[in-house]
Amino acid sequence: MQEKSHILSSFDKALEKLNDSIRRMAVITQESLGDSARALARRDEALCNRIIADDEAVDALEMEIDREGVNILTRFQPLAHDFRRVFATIKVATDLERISDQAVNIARRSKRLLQSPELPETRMLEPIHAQAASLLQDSLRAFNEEDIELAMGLKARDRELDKAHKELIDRLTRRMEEDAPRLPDYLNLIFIARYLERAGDHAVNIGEDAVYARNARDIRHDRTEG
Amino acid sequence: MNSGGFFSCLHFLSSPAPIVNVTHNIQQARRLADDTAYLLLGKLIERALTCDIFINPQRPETERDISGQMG
Repeated sequence: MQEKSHILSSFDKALEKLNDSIRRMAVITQESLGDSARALARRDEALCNRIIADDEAVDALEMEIDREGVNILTRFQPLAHDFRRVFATIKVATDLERISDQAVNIARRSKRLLQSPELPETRMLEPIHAQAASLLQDSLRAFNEEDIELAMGLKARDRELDKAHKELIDRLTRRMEEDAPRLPDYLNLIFIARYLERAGDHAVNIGEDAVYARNARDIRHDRTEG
Repeated sequence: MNSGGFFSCLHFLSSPAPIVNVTHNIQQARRLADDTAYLLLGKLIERALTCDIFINPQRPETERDISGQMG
């Protein structure tokens, strides 16, 4: 990311404040997604409740970033990289908020799973949980550092996550047929897998925003990339 | 004539013949021009569609100037 000073120091301060806000939002969201895996594996209700509670802070930060971004756009009318960075930051905030929502959904489904004995198949979600968390981590690094190479690799990695998700759904569906009394629990696991797959999609969006911020390329529907 | 009238007049005149407006006023260039050329010390640095040059300038000199950066 470019760190050049502007003639107006108040503009620099406003940009730095916006960067601080998105970094704080990223930290909480990453924690929530990571905690959702731990809460599910350890059957930890308190951790589930914390993830649900933390979503309020993420929602507040999303609105704060929108306000700060619009304020910068109207007061300073930034151009070139500055404009692209502010615009992309507002979009990243939307994706982080959605990922936090997915973590909340996972926590709620995990709480439902606590009401019955543990399913051994719960462990089958760990690899895709790790893939989604890794995608999010790298998408945020790509955005912070405007690392195009890292950002461009996210789509291919998301396709691997999609493939793993599909295979998992097939296996869980087969288990549902064999073990009908536990059908609601298997359904909860299928939903959790779906939330993780969606979190991966949002991480890819963050990578696309990194590319736009860095070199003004819109790769969202570019089928030749990644 | 107020600014609105002046700009309408320019718009009317630009239909049969292109108009070159030389300005230091970036806001005015953004509002008026279809194409923008950035000149520095008498040299043409770059020229592009106005929306492109202000969102994605190709030369660092242009980026520095329109972004209000120091140095």
